Amino acid sequence: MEKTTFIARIGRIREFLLKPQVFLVLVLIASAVMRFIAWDWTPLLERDSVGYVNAAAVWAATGKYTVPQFPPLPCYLIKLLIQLGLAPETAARLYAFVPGCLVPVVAYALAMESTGNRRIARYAAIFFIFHPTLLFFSVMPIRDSLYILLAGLCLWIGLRAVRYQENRLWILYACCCALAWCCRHEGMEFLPLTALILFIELIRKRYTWRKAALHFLLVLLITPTLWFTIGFLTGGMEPFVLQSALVMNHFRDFIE
Amino acid sequence: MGAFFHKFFQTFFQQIPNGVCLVFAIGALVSTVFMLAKRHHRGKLFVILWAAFLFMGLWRCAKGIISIRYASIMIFPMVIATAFGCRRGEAWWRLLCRYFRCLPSWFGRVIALGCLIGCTGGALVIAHYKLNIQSRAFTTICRTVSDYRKLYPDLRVLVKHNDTERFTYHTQVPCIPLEDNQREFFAQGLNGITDPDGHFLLVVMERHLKGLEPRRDELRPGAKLSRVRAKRYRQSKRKNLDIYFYENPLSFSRIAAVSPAPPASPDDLLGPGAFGPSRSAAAFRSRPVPGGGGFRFTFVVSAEAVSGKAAAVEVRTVRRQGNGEVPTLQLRCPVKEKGIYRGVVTFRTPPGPFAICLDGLGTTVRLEQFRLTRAE
Repeated sequence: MEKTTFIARIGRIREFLLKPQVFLVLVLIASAVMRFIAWDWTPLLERDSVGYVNAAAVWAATGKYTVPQFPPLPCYLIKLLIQLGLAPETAARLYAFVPGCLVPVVAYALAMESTGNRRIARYAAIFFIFHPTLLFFSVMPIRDSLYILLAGLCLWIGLRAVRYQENRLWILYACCCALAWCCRHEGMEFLPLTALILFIELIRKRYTWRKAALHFLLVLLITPTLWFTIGFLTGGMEPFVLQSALVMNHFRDFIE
Repeated sequence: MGAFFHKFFQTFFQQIPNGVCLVFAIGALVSTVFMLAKRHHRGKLFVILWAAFLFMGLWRCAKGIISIRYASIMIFPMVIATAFGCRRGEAWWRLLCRYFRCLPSWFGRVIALGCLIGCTGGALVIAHYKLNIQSRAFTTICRTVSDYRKLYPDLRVLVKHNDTERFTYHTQVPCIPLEDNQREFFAQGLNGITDPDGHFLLVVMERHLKGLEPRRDELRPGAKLSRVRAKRYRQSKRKNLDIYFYENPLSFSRIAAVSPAPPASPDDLLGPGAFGPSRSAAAFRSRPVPGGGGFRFTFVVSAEAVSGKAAAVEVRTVRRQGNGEVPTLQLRCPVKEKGIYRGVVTFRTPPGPFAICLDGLGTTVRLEQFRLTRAE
């Protein structure tokens, strides 16, 4: 009798811990702890990170963005944290740390959306907590941490948008694409990717031509507009012009 | 075409697996087989996700990537696929149990849990290795620099050009960029130092290259290069951390007064009148001296008028080559105020006559004494 009660209690605890909300909170805590440990492993900044910290510190002090070849959003966020009173290195580390902690949660959502299996989603979230590359991104102030989070969000929202075919989901997807593009130039690959996904859905006869065209047009209009707006508001015109040239080069390379 | 395929396969088999972590790359490969074998998965959104990542992967392979960071988005499908594989492993075991009834069914759970622990442990080991190793190498450098700075406050660090910003940030010591860590740039970088003040630490973090240090005859005469740290910091990639200490053979300092000229010596290769009759000017040029080997040029100048912050004294050697002349800067030192300065410069020249030029930049100097001797 006692044994049965004990097993039942264990079962209840397990059930409670595996509830999605509780599990995700645990994932967040574990993710933060793991990233703190990784932070302790890497007390010194690596090559590119130093560039970001210096650029943000100069930007905060003089108001001039000195590395217009990089998208301004990551440096702008670091600059905002510096202006809040944090030391440049702490601000930069924090900028990478917070999105890094959130990535396993997004991975859970993405795995859940794509496979429909809660256990696979749980495994994926656990793997993401310990992934070495992500740990590195989360403790080094480079643009990848935020980019990975936004790209994961793009994919998750994109899959939901394909499933539910709602306009507001496609608008949200376009906003995430634009933000990802503001972090890394590779973010623009979501534009041809959207076309590919919609084309596959058309072949599978889940979409009508009209709806597919409408949704693609939404993404095609909103993403570059928002990319320009965010780029202009954060970095001004000079980085925007330089980056437009870089993006054109990317497109030319892709076409060639 | 060959180069394209080389780049394609290098990205596919080397850079993408490195970027997403080898454990998950293998896991994803095994899981793809599981996925293709199970028909009903093809109807789900998983297919769209895979198609998307196939597109992203092929794009990267075709274009090539410089850093593994460019493949970071591939982490999502690889990790989700590995998680999928862990789950499918359990299902396949159950299928086996249906045919071989002697097999324990609970073992499926053990397989899934084993995969989970194995992948997590593998990832953790790689994370510790990757993050810790680089950091330990930097800590060694910073400690060495700080130790040497206590002895030599004017210490400077020479590093590969793309590392300058990082080293300046961590060591708080001015860094001078070297063009590359290759052997020829190593000697070139050291001989290119025309600054008479300061001692230099040279940091080399590179794959193990035999004979990286320049031969003695490739350095300036009187220069000393000694290795102060040697450490293999990454066994798998055979990366070495070497730190050298370079003692500068140049000097230029202010003195109180001109000491009486030493008696004429047969060692002096220039002799009186080598710089012509004018002893107060902006530029001096000696008569040609037969070259080949190491030389030491000692001089005393008095700076009579200093204009601007960029005022300096320069010593060059000029060789005739064909119809033209090849100048080589041997010493450049700032002159901040009027006064008497003594400088020593040691250099090596190829065979053939050469002349010594002493220029006052932004200053009028009076050449008080000079002497050129052979140096070993």
